[in-house]
Amino acid sequence: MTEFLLWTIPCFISTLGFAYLYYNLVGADTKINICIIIVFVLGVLFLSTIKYFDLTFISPISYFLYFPFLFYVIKFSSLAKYLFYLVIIWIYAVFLDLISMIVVVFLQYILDFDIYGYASRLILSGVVFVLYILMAKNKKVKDFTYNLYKKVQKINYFDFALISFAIFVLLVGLAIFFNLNKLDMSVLLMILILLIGFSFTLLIRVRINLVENNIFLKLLKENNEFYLKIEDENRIFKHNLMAKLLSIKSVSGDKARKLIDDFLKSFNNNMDFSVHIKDMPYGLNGIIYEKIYPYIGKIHIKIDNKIDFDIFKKLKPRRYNVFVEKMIIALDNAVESCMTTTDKILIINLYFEDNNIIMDIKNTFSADLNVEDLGKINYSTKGKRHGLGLFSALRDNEVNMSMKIVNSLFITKIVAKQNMEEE
Amino acid sequence: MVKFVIVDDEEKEIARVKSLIKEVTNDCEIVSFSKINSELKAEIQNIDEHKIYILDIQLANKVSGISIAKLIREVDWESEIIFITNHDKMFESTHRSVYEVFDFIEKFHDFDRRFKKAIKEILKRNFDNRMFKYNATNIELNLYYRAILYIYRDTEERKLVIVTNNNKYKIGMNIKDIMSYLDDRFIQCHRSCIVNKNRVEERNYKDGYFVLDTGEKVYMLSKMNRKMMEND
Repeated sequence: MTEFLLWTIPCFISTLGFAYLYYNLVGADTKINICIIIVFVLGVLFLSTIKYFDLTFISPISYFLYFPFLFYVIKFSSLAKYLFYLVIIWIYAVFLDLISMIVVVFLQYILDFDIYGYASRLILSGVVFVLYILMAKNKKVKDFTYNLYKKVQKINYFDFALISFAIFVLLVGLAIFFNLNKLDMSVLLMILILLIGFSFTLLIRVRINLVENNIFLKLLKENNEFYLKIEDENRIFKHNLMAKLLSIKSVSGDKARKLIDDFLKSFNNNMDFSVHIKDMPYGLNGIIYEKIYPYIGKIHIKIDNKIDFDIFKKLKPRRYNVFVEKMIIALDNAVESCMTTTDKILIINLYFEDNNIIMDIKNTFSADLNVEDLGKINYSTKGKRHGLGLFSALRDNEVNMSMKIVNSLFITKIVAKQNMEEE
Repeated sequence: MVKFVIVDDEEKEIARVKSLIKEVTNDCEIVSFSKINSELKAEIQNIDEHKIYILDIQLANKVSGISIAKLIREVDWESEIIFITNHDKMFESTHRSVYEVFDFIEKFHDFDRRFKKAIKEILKRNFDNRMFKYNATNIELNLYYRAILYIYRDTEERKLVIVTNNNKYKIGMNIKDIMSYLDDRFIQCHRSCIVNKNRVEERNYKDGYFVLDTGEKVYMLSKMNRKMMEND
């Protein structure tokens, strides 16, 4: 019992060091609660048991058996970040153990004391604990770890997996090749070739999709720049036109004044942006502008944007693409529908709520609508050869899209859940 | 008893609105807020009682009256909204349609008279904002009862068609089932037709048609259902 307790103290110190290092590196603000205390105490007992019974088969992996739980209860923000810090702290621990071992061996050499005694164990744990604390408090270590995390995030895991797979296959292939005289090895080689063929086809297909995605995003960016330029030109044109009209008005008769006033009123009121279109999320602004530009002056458009951050930092490319795709389909439908009404109103609200990027598109509409068939393949109020857009938009669950009719208003809500952590 | 919810950042304006309400009716409960906060949000979320929201468009806080109306309409299409504004007419017409706003009243132009008139009209209308709600696979349909003109059975597609001022909606129900969702303003006037009697202006049993307040003449009036129509 005494010996068990003697193991408990170094395990306690060591666990506390790990927890403190993790707490500081991830910048957790969690207060100590009953859950953390329970996991901590159970962990210390678990590690002490391993040491006490000298379970050598489990000892090397004891870190990965227990600390994931402790780190999870301290702070869990995203799986990638959690796994990264789990591995990096393990690497730091190995490194610090190495240093402390060198220090202890050096001391043993100088002072000639028992390295396997209880006192040595305690000193070793104490040294490592102090090093953990120093690391946890060191700004350079924190920055280094954070920068490393950022770099790791930039790794294309797909390429990484492809290369790892190729190396693995090569090594296994070589191993089998040198044992070809055995029948079971030949059979194994055959199976391996089949697996390689299948996996490579799959991986290459995904790779092509990724390349296509990147090309699409590049094109989107170029189009965006183009539409922003058009917007600038449009604003200059509008400004000049207004100035000219006002100067004409100043020397006109009553009837001409009325005509100009009427024109100015309609010119100014058909579109109402709560913000300058450039202030809307990059990428979406160009698309919205492209879609509504031909209808400025024909329908009453109101755009209300509450998002002032880069949308790419919240959504991964795949989700962003689906969001845009659904937005385009909904905008096309909304514009076409409201053109058939007398009010001709189109309202676009863009906002961020509960980790969701949300776009509400509201439009007036006038149609004979089969409520049951809406969204089914080939159903459209526009007749045959239509209705595929909405069908495909509703099919993809990457981004949620829901529709509602409230009296003469058609409301489409597109919700994309944030799937990228902004640091 | 009617509940009034006033949102205005000026205490003076709140007091003025309160006194105007008291001039129209004493049978009321009035709550006021100067900005959006958790209490107002809770009030909006409580849709068990019908309310009259009186919202100032320009609030000192970042959240405007329009945004509050948006929040209200997320959950509640039955309460009434009155905006106090000094915005132009185009702005009004846009928001009137989108948020079913009862009225926009300018602060500095004949405010007292227009405000009291609006409140009286709402009280007279007795919150006729009940809705017919129907959930299809991909869409949710919400229509004010008062907006529905008539409902008939499309024998070809074997579906019910709900006719409103501008639209027609086909839904997968039958006459008998839909009657249980409607209130007593709806009368079965024909074997395949239900009409909103409040929207009917003329009935002709001899030729079998009725005329709606939109001017539309519908040949679906049966003598068999005359008793039911006349009783109501």
